[in-house]
This record gives sequence, structure tokens and C-alpha cells, in this order.
Amino acid sequence: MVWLTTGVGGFLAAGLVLVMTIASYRTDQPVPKLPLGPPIEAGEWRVVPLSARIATTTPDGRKVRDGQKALVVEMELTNRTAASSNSFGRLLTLDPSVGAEDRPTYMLLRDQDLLWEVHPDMTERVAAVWTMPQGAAVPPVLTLAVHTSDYKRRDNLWGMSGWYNPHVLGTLDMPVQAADPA
Amino acid sequence: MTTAEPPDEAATALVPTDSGERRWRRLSLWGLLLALPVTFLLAARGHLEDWWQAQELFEQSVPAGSEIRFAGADWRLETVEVLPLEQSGWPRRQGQGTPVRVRFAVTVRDPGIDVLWRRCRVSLRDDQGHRWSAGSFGGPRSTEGSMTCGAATLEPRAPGTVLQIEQDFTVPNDAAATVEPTVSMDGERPWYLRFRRGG
Amino acid sequence: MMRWLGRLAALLVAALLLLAMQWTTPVYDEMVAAIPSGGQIGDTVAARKFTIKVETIQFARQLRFEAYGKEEVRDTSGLWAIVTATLAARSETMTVNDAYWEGPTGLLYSHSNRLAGVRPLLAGALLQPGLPRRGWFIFEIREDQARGATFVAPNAGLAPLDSIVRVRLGAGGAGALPILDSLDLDRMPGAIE
Repeated sequence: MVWLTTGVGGFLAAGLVLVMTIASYRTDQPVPKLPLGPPIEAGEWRVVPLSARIATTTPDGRKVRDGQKALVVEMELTNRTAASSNSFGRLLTLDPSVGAEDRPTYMLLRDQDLLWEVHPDMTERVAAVWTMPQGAAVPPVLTLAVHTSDYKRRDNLWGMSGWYNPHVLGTLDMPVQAADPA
Repeated sequence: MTTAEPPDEAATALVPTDSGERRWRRLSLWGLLLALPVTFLLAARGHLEDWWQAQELFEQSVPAGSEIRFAGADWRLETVEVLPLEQSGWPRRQGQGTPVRVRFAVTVRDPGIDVLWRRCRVSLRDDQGHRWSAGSFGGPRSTEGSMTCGAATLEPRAPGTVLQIEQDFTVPNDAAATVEPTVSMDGERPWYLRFRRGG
Repeated sequence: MMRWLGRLAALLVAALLLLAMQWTTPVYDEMVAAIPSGGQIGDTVAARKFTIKVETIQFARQLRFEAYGKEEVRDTSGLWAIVTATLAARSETMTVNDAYWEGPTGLLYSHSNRLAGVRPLLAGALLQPGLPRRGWFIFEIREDQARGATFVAPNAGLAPLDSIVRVRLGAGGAGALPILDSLDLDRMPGAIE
């Protein structure tokens, strides 16, 4: 009896760890499929994907290097945070990756130049550009994974506010338009 | 703490209260006043050393025309010249200010110049505490073979080599005649040199 | 009995004090936030290493300028806000790398990166003591953030416990904002270059 009362803290902690370990082994829920068309709320960003195509020139007018091609995904991007942000780099990934680089380059279609940042609550038409070898097989319907994060007023370590816990919100299927013959 | 205490409570109380013990407890509490700051200082020793290394605190004045041993070399100020606006390659911003070029003749005495001269900072100061940092103009150097202080550290220099160290600045027009060059580097900071300009 | 009540009361008071201290502890962001110096348009506001005097603000829907030999046009879905200001370094050579337009609701708009090649931009310009510079900070903002805004420089997040300036930009008149359809930066008076 004395042991139980004096050790109740330790017993609780051990019990909690046991429950959490068992819970962590459960199979994850399948990643949801997002519909193409309506705006997708992905944490810091609201994105409306518009089109995907294979091209030999990037939207800033430059030709891709020899032996490579570019996958250009156009979208409307809105910054949902309260400050200008350039964290759109990890918003979209190719799933499965088709031999392209990890992070695409984002271009502002208004200027036809690199996108530096998007300002709060302002929508811009942008294009995400992946370059890949000419021979990489791009399926006719491309699957993109949309990444999101959660806003925390105080985080667990320093109590700072920010967007934490990046995870996949869902996947998106986009039909790829055929490349224009160059 | 309690109002009435039976005489034998002192012997059976949970906390011993004889005077020797009380004195040591008090001494320990006062000792905390010493121990805590010392712990902080020891833990922050690395930061304090870095801070001390980066400050320019103690001035070593160099009279006009003389040479002084500093950071493994003999330093002598050759000229502080106002450059012509056109040919110096001065990036003419807003049409104001004066380009000034400072040149030192430095004789290397220590073979370890590339280490002693790390984070070399040459600046111009006036007597009101303003400090102008060196910039770089795109134009040609006025002397063959001159280099900036930082460029001198790119390779080891043999003792006896004479280096022409040249740095460019932009200062207000009225300050150009009275500013004095100062030199500091990792090997000697917080001491730094200030070259006085004679008549 | 009184002793027990006294001890219980002391315990409760201590618990309440601790709870109050925990609830009112500021968030980390606030604890290490920069210390602002405030002012209005026309005031010279001093930070630790520089002073700034905001002179005028203009709004336009489109900017035109010549850069690297080419004519450039910049459109926006909101407004361009051109803040004309004079920056002066106080005692050392320095640069003001960032500036922000803080809207009336707290939205932070950073200075625009789409204007490479415009010479009189002050963000990132080298300041020498004794040589004040007059130029522009240009922001891309939403139209509803134009009134009642504050100009903040430099980056509050990167300057913990350092000083920043907050210049109130005024609520503007009651009438419509004077928004130009298109502004040619090369022909705009005021900035020296």
C-alpha cells in the first residue's frame, strides 16, 4: 500500500508510455483524395490547382537544359498567414516521384520570373516547375501530395508561435496535358 | 514558526535547530549569491571570450609618420588620399560624399600573418565617434600590387615581405580631412591601432 | 484549528499567486520582441543604429520603370504603396535590410522583391554616417490595408531586444484614397539618383 502511494507518479508515467507505444503501432488512416476544382486549405496556403503540362520552356521563357523536360503545374496560391511568406517550397510533392528533383521551382506568372514570396491574403497565379530527364516516365494522370501544417500559438519547446507538425493533407490527381511539339 | 514550543522539541523536531547547524545553513544561502553568478560566468565563458575578441576597446595611438609593430608586422600609414570622383570607379550613390583611399606599408615580421590577421577591420573614425567601414570601389588600384587587408590573409606571407594594404571608404566631404584610420584584427583585438594624422 | 485554517489559507494564496503568474507569463515572442521607437509621418524616429523620417506615401495600381536597359511593368492584385523616406546611419556604416508595412489588422507585408534594378530603393542600401539617403520603400499590399498602417523596420523577428522603428502612417482622409493608375518610377520626383 505504501509502495503504491509513494510510487503512483512512476506507475502513471509507465502506464502512459505503454498506452502510447501501443497506440503508435496502429495502422495510419489512408491518405484522403482531394477533389480537383475547389480551393484546398493547406495550413499556410490555399491552393487551387489549375493545370499540369510537360514543356520544354519554363514560364520565364528560358529553355530547359538539353536532355531534360519540365513539368509545369499552374495554380492559384493564397497566403493564409499574417505575414509575407516564402514557405511554398514544400507545399506540393510528386507522389510517386518520377525522377524529378525534390522541390520544384516556383514562378510568378504575372512577372514570368521567380516567385520570391506571397503576401498575406493576396492571391497570385503561380507555376511549380519540376525539371527531370527527358526519358523520365510521367503518367497521364499525375498524383500530387499536398502538404500542410498546423498553427500553434505556443509550441512545446520555446513557446513560440508558428506552423508546426508538417504532414500530408491528401493527394490530388491531375491529368497532364501533352507536351506541345517544340 | 509555531507559537509555543516545548523545551525538548528541538531534539525531536524534523529539522535540527542547534546553532552550529543554523550558522552553516545561513552561510550556504549566502554562498549561493556567489555560486550562481560564478556558474553563469563559467557556462558563458565561450560567449564572453567571443565577445571580448570582437570588441575594439583599447586604442593604441600611432603618431603621424611613425611605424609600429602590430599583429606580427610593422605598420606605417603611407597616405590618406581623396580620390577623384571620375576615374576611381567610385559607385556614385546619390552624388554625395567623398571617396577616400587609405594605404599602409606593412612589413611582415611573423610567418603566421594569415592567422593573426583574421577578421581584419580597417575603418575611418573621427573625433565624434563616427566610424566608416571599408567598401570596395570597382575601379583600378592606384598602386601596383596593392591589396586589401583581407586579401593579404589568403596566403601565408614570408617575413620581410612588404605589403601595400589599401582600403577605400566613402565619407562626408567635411570629414575627409580629419578622419583617422584604425586597424584591428583577431590577433590583437581588443587592442586596435589608430593612426594620427599630423599637420 | 486556527493554525490549520491559517496554513490552508497560506497554501491557497500561494497557489493563486502561482496560477496568476503562470497565466500572465508573456509568450516567448513577446519576451524577446524588439523594443520599438514610435513616431508619425514627418518625425525623425531614432533606432539604435539609424534614424528614419518618413515623408510621403503614394499608391498606384501599376509601376513602370527601366532596369538593365529594359522597360518593366509591374502589376498587382492589390496596391503598390511607395513610401518616400530619409534614412541616416547614426554612428557606423550599416544597412537596413528589411522593412514591413503592418496593416491596421496586423498583417505584415514585407518590402517587394519584384523591383530589382530600381536604384533609389532603400532596403539593403549602404548607409554611411553623415550621409543621409532619401529613397523609397515599396510594398505590395491589399487595398483594405492602406489606411491606418504602420511602417516597421528592420525585421522585428531578427532583432530580439534590439530597437526597431514603428512609424504610424495615418488613417488618411475620409475620402477615397488617391490611387494612381500607373506610376513611372523614373519620372517620380524626390529621390536623388
